[in-house]
Amino acid sequence: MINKFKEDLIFMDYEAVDAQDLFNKITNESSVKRYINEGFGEAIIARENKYPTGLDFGTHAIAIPHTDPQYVNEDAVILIKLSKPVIFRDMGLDSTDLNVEMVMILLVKDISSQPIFLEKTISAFADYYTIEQIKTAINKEDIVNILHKKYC
Amino acid sequence: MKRVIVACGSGVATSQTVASKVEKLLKEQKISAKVEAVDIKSLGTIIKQADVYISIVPVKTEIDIPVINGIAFLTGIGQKEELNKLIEILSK
Repeated sequence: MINKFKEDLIFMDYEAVDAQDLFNKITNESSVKRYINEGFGEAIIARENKYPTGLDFGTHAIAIPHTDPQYVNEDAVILIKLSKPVIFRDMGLDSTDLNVEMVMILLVKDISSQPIFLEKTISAFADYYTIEQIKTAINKEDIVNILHKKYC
Repeated sequence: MKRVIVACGSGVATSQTVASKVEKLLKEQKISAKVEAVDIKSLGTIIKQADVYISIVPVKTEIDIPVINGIAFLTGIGQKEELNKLIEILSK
């Protein structure tokens, strides 16, 4: 099974005041820049404003921002553990503010691999036990290993 | 065959995921239907030929076919209810 999580795209205790601030900071990280091209930052912010990506699981909420393949060089996922929750709007109705502690920016180049990958990823993150494991993980290698098990 | 439409902002990630999941769930129930992921921009024309619309993004326009909550298929919360609703519509 495809695992698109990479250590250099995992960010721990990341600080951002809001979603826009998060997107601005993350798109300027040197490891992220290799995977995206010009226009990605603006595109993802515009997309999130129009079609928000917060997902509420009851016990916790995540966000899965993404944009068109034309702004992406290679398939991957940027995983961000926030030091303080940031507000994202809910995907279905855009009617609720969700406190999000974990953000996964999906870098989609190859559309065909997305459905299975995203289904597995969302079911992994829907599981509160997995979220707790990731939250308490001290290093990036542990996080990659936790997630890798979910894709075997 | 009944036609089910799922739309998202670009048709690349979430709509594809929901469409493949719904297709799998319907197959398990031995219900045949055509489940398609489309770009929200083409929704207006495609919806006229569809029987059910699975919504995962806020839609401003009026939709005159049955609407199912697609987020349930992503998060799993309320999935059973939405699937039953969908099956009921498709069995008519």
